Amino acid sequence: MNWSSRRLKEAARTFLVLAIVFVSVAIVIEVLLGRSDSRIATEFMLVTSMVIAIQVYVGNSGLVSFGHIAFFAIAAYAAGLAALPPERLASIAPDVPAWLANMEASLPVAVGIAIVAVIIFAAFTGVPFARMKASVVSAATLALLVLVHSVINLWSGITHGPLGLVNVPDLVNTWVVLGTCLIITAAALLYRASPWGLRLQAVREDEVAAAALGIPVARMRFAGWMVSAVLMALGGSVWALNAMAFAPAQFYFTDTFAMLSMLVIGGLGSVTGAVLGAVIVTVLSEVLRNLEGGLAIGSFEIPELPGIVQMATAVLILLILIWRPGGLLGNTEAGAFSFGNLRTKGWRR
Amino acid sequence: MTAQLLIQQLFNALSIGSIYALLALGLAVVFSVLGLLNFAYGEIITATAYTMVLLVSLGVPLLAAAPVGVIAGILMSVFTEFVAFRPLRKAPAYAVVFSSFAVSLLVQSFIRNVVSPRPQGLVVPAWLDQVITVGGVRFPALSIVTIVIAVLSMLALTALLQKSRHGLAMRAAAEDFETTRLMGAKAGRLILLAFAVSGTLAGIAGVLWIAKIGSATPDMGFNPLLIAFVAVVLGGMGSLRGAVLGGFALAFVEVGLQVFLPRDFVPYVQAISLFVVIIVLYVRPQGFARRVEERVA
Repeated sequence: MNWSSRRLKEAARTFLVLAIVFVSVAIVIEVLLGRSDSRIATEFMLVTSMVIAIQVYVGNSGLVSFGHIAFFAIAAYAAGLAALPPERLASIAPDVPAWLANMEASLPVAVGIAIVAVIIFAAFTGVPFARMKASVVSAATLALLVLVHSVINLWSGITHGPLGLVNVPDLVNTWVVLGTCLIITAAALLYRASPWGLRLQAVREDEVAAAALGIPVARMRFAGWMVSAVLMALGGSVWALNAMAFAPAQFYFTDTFAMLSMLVIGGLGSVTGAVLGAVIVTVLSEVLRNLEGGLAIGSFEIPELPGIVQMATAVLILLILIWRPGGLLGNTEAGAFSFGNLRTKGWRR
Repeated sequence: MTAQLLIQQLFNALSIGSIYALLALGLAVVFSVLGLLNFAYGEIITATAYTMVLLVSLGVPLLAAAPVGVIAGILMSVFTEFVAFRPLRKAPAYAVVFSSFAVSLLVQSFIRNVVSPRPQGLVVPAWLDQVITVGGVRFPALSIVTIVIAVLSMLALTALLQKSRHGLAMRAAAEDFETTRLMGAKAGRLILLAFAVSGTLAGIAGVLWIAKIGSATPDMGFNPLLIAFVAVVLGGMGSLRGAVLGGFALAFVEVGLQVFLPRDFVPYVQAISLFVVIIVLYVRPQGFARRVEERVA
């Protein structure tokens, strides 16, 4: 396995650009925003980092996964259950095994438990998924999401059913969120530049040719699935400890669609694209959400428009896919541009 | 377990299975030609259901509303082809997954905004609610109608595929699309036909579905979509015979679980049957179909 120094340099440059973005968002949060606004901003950073985690699998393999929201849910519940103190847990989730219930886990322990839980789940599901035909994977992962969602909804002795977990201790501050973002971004870029990432991208471009060159297709897909799952677990567990309360409805279609649309709009094949898409969709939804409740401008009243955000996002996705099937950035990273390239070749696509 | 109960449950599974098989067939028809899954497939059922609810509420008899509902289903299927599939013919497969998913959400939020987010009830005539009891086994009229219509639809599809020129072209396209084009079949028209056939099958399934559940909601298309996906995956992608087999297999697993599981676990039937499917795929990643390139019908 040879690491390409050109790919590593590009990843490093991209990391620098994205790190500047994340660090400046974090500084703005700390310096300028009040408590409630800062929670919206940290939530944005964590959602962006989960979109990056999804990009690791979807972007490199070209297979669509709806199952990553299931990883998110498992991570959030595992971290929440580990962090909740036993007396609070006893009233909402009496069937939690004693070793987990009595644990008032610190941040690293809670995140660790979430990651282990997701690794077990992802390893179990990843084996059949890696062997499936590409066209089947999207359907199978959708079934996986439904399975996990219905179990969480029904197993109320552990999960508190549709009401979800509440009063999860707030173990996270802006710097922890920033650190999570940076770790996930670095890992995603490193994987993309790695020999395993390259092999998975080769499978994405042409499965038959890649297999003919001796690339073990199923094993590379499984590796991408696992890396992506671990990053998703990291982002999801920190998200849970930042959100402090969550319910099963948050881990279903609305959120799946929101995260996947960020990925599609920004550009599937690139980590920069995931971040760009997250920014575009977040800004768009915040603007449109104000319309959703109805508005009155002078005597002209705009009626209530339930679901206008979803409608607009759906239209945007269709238009962008028709215009650029790979999303806005396609496979291009911020770090693909360098002054060396500028001088010799001009701006490369 | 008595013989009566066994016959009763077998009959139930057969009736549910025939809806599932129709749903799976409609999805598989497009997949066999294009090699792509239509994520807006559930919206065909939604279109059929809302059309029927509207017509019946205006006083149109159910038997007259049903064919119009099927036509609405066909139109929805063709709409999906024009919006989500045709503009992305050259794009990679994942782009089409997203575009058809976007159409699905577009239709759902359209219904929420223009019609209502709340369930819309369908009044079913009394003769459909009748139950015929033979030797202690209950045969609801709707279930009998369901089985008869499903069997007739499958026979009609087989006839179309085996006897007509267009059917021949579709079967050929399922084997090798490019070669079929070289033989003079018009690609655009062939794909449009596949979507129309898919819409017809899903529309018929939609009529039976709405008659069974009795009310229409904006996201009602999701369960039929999931059923069709699972059945098609189980049956081996693109094989029409496999899709029918997958539909019945899923129904028998579901009914079986409902009968044999302890009472506490009955709410988990959907989760457990999806789990069973994952186990099956663990052993046979390509589903039931023995060969990947299976002949159509």
